[in-house]
Amino acid sequence: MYGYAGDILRVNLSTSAVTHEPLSEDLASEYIGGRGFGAYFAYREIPAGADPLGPANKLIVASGPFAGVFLPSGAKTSLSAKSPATGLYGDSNVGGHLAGEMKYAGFDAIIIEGKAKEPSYLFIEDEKVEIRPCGRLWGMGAIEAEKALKEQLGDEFQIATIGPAGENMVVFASVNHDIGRQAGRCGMGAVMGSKNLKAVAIRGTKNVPVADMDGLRKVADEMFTALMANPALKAWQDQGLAQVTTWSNSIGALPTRNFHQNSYENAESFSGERMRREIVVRDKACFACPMATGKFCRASYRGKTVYLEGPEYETTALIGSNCALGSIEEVAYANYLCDELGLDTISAGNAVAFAMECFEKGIITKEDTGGLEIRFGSLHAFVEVAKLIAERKGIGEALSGGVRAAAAVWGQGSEDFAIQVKGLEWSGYESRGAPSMMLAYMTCDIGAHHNRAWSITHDIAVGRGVIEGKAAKVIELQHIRPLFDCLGVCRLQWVELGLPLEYYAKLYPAVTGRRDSWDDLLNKSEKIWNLTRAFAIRERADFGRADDQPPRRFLQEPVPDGPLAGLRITREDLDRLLDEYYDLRGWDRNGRPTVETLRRLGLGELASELQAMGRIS
Amino acid sequence: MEIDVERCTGCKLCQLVCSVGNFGENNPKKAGIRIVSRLFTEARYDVVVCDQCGECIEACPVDAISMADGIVRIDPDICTNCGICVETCPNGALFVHPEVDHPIKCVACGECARLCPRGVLGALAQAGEGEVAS
Amino acid sequence: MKVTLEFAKVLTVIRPELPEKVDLDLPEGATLEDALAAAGVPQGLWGITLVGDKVCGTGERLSDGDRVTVLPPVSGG
Repeated sequence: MYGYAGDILRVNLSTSAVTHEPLSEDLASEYIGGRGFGAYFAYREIPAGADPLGPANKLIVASGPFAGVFLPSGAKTSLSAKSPATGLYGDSNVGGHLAGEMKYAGFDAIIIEGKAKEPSYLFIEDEKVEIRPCGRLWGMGAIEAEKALKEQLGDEFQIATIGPAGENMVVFASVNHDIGRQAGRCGMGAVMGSKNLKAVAIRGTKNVPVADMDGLRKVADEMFTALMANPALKAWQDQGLAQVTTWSNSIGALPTRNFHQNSYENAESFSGERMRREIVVRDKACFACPMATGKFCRASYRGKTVYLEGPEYETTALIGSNCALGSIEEVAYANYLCDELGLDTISAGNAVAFAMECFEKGIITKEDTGGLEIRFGSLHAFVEVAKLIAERKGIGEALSGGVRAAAAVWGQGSEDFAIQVKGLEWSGYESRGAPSMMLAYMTCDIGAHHNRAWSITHDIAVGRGVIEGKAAKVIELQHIRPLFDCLGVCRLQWVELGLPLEYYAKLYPAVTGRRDSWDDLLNKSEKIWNLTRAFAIRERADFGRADDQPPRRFLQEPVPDGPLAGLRITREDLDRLLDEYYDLRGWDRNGRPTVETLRRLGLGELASELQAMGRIS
Repeated sequence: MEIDVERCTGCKLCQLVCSVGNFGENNPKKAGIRIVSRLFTEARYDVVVCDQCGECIEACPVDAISMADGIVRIDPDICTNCGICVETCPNGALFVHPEVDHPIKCVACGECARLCPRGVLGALAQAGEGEVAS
Repeated sequence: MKVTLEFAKVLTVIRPELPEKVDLDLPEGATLEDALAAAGVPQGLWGITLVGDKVCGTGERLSDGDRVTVLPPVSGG
């Protein structure tokens, strides 16, 4: 099959059974790959009510037809499972060099089931697949373990690891790859940890066949040439995503002091220019990517010098301004620590900021913290709390379940400023002044993440106060952006450098030989969107509109200062946004797809199942 | 030969381009160039590619390797894939692939240099004129 | 002095009324920020700005004949 390796690898860690299943043409054409495969297998194979940290959960590692193929940055791997953070479908994707390697080894997806009897790692070299005891790797930092495996197996192995946080099943534990790239969100590291799986190491030597190599070469060549001629490329190579910080601050979107504010008086010290000047050692790219947004950096703290990849914008926003740290080097050190511990920097930044606010408000005290002063601005506090979370000790035990769970333990009104949706902590764009972005966070299928739809410039362009029409924009983006995660290709070349979507539409037939138009692919993306929604509805009888709500802080507290001082979002605005959104999607006003909508999308079987359960009508 | 390794970002597009241009495959292991990560120890990448020094010519027991116009080539019809040249190469720039019955090396076709986003491989572009291996 | 502003294509998609290119006549000593204001680009809708091939902040003083490239703000990765 063109564009695919052709096989799915199934590994049962409980029984040590390793099987190969041919990828069916139906699955490939209907669900494309990556997140699409993840959603398909998660719905079909993870039973409703399964414990996300039990052996019945499955981890689906999948890439798509564009990965590993001659085109810009076919570098994306999706990791999907039932998320321990949300109890719903979750996925997170990672760049680097994993996606191609998996296909060169012969696999479009790896489905990991069960639980190993002892801490193990999965070894894959072409046809050779082994579950090996991981010995002394267990307990190591995520990067330390990757280094040890590279030394043992060789540099050509591409490796994904978890750190202590994953081993200890912190619900926002990340999966680490290529030193500083993470599938950070939704706790995929905890799922690996629950399976006693420390790492996956892959090397492959095979071809990924394509339908029309000459056609592909022509389009890809044009894409590379257009990227190289793009005036923005140099800025990206120079600063990567760090350039967002100054802009985000200037428009009132930069999370500050646990989202109390949305601009930070010290943001200038986090600017892309300062980062480049103060800590960047080398530019670092994902596979076949001219942008090289990865910044390999050096940072020192208390006499210890460390190397890391990053920080990129999200980390700077959630750890830097959201915990009110002082310099980009402090952020970089905290970033390094999270990477080694195997903590998602977005959720970890949220969790520590939440603890800082609770401490400053007296909700938790020195008695709870073992004498530690957990105040905004303290890197020391960040370091100590992050370690407690990874070890699940002291206040780290409550925080290891995420801010929603910690607020349930600590109470006293703290749930109002636990900044999350569906149990997943909010990423780097405070949105009281950006209704479409707020809606994007509320309706994102995995919780409060920006990757599905990002629309702040739309709010600025058509007016921050405007509500009508914004749901349509969010829906449009929720179909386009995840499509890239299905195809296994990075979307930055399109979304940031403006590489026209027409190129991707031309790549698809050249790679796969299928005739789908871009609109056909968007319809499939819509189907996948409804499938992950269906997962939630099958999971919980009470799932619906109440799960699509932002934290009360954004309704109750106007922005205290900065460019958007005085703004907040009202209940009326939220209701209008949601009503419009549900209507356009063909969902009822409780946010449930109708039987008719699911049938229109080719999910008739699933519609009947949910209807029989009394979940939809 | 000048290769500006300091500018390399480790994207490995060169390996991919080489396999596309020389073998018609998307297969970076089937390529005459390697990017090796030394990030863990030295915070940099290495580019491993033939500099056409010719030491392998002497080493080959069956005279399968020769130089013409400054480019060292392996004749696949003569080569027995014994691996002696691979061992001999001072740069480690001859690569073995399970599906190819002779070592793979750079013939300076220049495709990778043309597309390298950082101009790391400039010298390779000057060496060849768009010629690809058999 | 005469200055040319060029808007990246992504920006003109977000904000269709922006031209791809505009020639401005600005007083001596004008900054990049003055040029953006004169062209009517609302704050928050520009990201990186280049004068010639050099990335410059909006406080940069412009010279006669400068070619300014205006790039959109990043789009959230």
